[in-house]
Amino acid sequence: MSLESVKNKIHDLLISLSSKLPQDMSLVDVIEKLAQLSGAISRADLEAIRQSSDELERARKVNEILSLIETRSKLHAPTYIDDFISMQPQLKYPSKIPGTLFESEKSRKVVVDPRIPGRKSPDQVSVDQMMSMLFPGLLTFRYKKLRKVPVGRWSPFKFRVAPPLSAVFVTERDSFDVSKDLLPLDYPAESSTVSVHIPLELNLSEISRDFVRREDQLEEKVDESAEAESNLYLQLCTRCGAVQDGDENCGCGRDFLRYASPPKSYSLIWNIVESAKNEPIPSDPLFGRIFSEASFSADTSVKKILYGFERRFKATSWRINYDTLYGDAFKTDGMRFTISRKIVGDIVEHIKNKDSLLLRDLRVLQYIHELHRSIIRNKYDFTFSQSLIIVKALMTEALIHETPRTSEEVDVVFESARKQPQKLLTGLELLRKVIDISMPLTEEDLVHMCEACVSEATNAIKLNESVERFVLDVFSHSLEHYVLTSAMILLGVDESDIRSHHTQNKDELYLYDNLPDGNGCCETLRKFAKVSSSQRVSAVRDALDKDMPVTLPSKDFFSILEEFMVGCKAERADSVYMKLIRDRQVAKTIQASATDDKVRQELLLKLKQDFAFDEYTISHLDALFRTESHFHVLKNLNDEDLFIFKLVPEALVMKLAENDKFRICPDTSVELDKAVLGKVQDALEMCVDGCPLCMYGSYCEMSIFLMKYFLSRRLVETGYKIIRDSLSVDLEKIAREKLLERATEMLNSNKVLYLKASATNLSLLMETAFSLLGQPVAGSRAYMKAISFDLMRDGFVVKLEAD
Amino acid sequence: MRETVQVGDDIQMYDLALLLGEATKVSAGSPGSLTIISPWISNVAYYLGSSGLTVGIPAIAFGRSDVVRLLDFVKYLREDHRSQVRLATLKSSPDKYSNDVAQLIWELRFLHEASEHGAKIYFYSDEGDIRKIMHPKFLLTSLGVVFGSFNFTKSGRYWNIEDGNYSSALSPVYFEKKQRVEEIVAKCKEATLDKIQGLLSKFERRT
Repeated sequence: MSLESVKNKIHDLLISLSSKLPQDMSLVDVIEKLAQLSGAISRADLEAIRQSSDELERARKVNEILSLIETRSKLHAPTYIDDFISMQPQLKYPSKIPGTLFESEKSRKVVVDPRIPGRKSPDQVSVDQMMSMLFPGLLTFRYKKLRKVPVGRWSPFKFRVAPPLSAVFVTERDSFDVSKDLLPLDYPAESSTVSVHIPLELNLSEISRDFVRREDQLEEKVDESAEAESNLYLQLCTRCGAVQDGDENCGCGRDFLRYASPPKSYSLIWNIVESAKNEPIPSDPLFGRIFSEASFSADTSVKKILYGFERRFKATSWRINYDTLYGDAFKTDGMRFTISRKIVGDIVEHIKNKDSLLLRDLRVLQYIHELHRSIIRNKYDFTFSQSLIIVKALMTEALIHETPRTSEEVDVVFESARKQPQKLLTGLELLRKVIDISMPLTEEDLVHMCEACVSEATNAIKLNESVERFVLDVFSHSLEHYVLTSAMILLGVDESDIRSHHTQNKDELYLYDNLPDGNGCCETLRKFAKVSSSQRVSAVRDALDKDMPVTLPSKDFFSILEEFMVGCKAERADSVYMKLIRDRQVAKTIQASATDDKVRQELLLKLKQDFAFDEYTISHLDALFRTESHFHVLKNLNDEDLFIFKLVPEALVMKLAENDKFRICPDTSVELDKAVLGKVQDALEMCVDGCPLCMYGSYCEMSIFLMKYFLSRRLVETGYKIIRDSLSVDLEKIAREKLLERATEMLNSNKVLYLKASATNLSLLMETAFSLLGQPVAGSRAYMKAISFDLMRDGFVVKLEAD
Repeated sequence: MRETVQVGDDIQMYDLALLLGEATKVSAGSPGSLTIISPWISNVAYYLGSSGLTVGIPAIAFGRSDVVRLLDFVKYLREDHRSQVRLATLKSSPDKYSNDVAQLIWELRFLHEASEHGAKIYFYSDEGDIRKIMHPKFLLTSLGVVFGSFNFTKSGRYWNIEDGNYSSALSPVYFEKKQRVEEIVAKCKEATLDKIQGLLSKFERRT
């Protein structure tokens, strides 16, 4: 009831009581009080009352929260991350730090001296296990019993020179020096050469009893209370990101925030790989054009350096560098691939002339990259995530008005930000409507930073050949991920056995065995890099002769790599979905199919019958049709803008109509934009537009945050397409009488040929391919390597190769 | 362009290519065509995985298998009822495999299953000395033909030292061989499913 209505009621009551006064004089007092009350209400400041009641409500909530925190603190006050994690078994990676940071099958051991009464001799663990203990968040050491070992102190501040208090024994002899230039750009090395220590010994006796926690004690803790799982609080320094932990302490004072979930920490590992005495491996006619050289070396030197970690919690992130570098160095077997400069030049020329959208998208990535470099150079101490927010803010400010269509329009966005750095604040303000942002600078400093760094980034991008350099970097880095994944598929191993390396600004990629002296991965890879048809024929006959299974892999390394570069099935299925929702009539059916099983089944059946889609595509489409929010998000997006909004999904949320937001999140009334953002991100995770999600690796030197902004499947697929087109004969573009002559010529000169045709010309394609089968070409014979069909791209393709 | 090319130990590569070529046509909605003439015939296994030949046609599900048998191809081709699959061989008799009845049963079981899936089975004449009457070997599809001394058995295709040739459908040799195949098939008698079943039962009883 409002005060105004109360006042009116009192007025009515006064009139009614006044009429009864002659009969009952005792009402005088009542009437007097009511008159006073009415007067008081008339004089009241309604706005002030409203505000104070709001204030009271807030104070009540604060009291409640404080009391809750106090109660919980009394119940549980964990000081160790492990306690925290162990009590929350439901938490998914990366809350839990992987236990195999440096895992391999190494034989070299570190002596661990626990000095436990009753234990006679020290034990040994591998160097990898030892190093894993130096990473905050994984300070548990499985040495019979789980222990909490405070080793590997780090400094949260740059240039802090404090003697590390460490129980790790290292010697001068067991270290290696690394030039500052070979370390990451943002590592604050104090001298031109930095020592990296190889851990030798962990002396547990140096560690105070107070810091040693036993597994049984931890288990007892868990059993103490049934409500332990999600009510624990972790203390986290807002300034440097340090966790108040047995091992992690910072000099920022004890002004810690308390959080109910642990931060996500990612190790920063840098690799330096070189090789000597390289022996060329069998070449492949297609990949000979991508790699100017591919070789094996039993003399590959690997240096791994753990130089810090990046921690992220909600909107805040910190990058922390170790002042003492720990690492390992060894010689092993490796493979080196040198990227052909010609293919990089061809790609640049192609995208400059024929693919303005890819050029635009790469330009955005280039701005992200250059801006971050500039921010680091100017010592703003930002993490990559924070630099990314700056780019997102500038892009959001621009996207609200218009989406840039070309690389020149992207330049205009950043040029205008350079001239009007205030735009950064506007962009940040817009972003804050959708996400939480925490920036470690004042608004004034942010404007200064924007002015200086955007200007530097813009100038760097304007430099001659900057596009070529960037394309080389992204192409090489992406290929590194392709090569590693293909090798793992061929060998049936994972990243603990084989690793990859690419140094920025260089055109070399490495694969290496993750074990001193090798574990056979690269040796096997060399053997199966390219398997000829005659080898395959002999292997099958031999196996049958000896009554043994055929041991040859069904696909050699280069075949797997090629299959990868053609593109993924999920991308094709997603592309079908995007095409379908562009058709108004089909779109209506898709929308209805989200809730009507019968409509969905009929639609899927029709698609299967009309386009002969396989089961994978049909089940993929089924999942997409069921998710109604995808439809409402993606129908609002042009295909060519997908990449831009993948980078800045917040801007798409702002552009959505309110009706669509309600359709996307029909059950949400509070913080609608934030809820919609989640759905928008889900929808934009479609595999279309060269989504590199499947390419992510756990040990990329670029770190988990940077990696994905320097991977481009589109770039690799474009490179592949350029080469394949130069080796293809399209039956529909060449006169029939010249077909065989042209195909034979190409097979003779290139040793590989792709014949392609649409389904209507399949007969001609087959006739041509089978005419070439077995014919003498390039000093050998033509064999069929692949027959494929892709409705969305080339139609039918037959690959022939000279053996 | 050579009209015929020499085929040796790599015969399985040509077989596989021709069989997959026909399967590709069927996947695109055209009927397939396959005729095999061999005095001795079996459900030969092809090591598709080890052959290095990649099949990226979604409709050909067996294209992802490591080992594909002749029967798999027959079944797939016959998914289009217009496809013609003909298998011609010597009629089953106790001395066909030198009194090895087990071998004979394997052959009949393969022919029986192929027949169940619509393949036409042909036996050469009952009369006379069978080994002198029918000895040629062909694998003929609409795309090419493999011919020579190779029997359509595991030994013939993978073990023995044999000799043969391959001609594509654009070669004049293909038409000569196609005509020869038709002549041989014309001399054969089609065996019904019941007849094969009868033979199979007869020999199974003996074991």
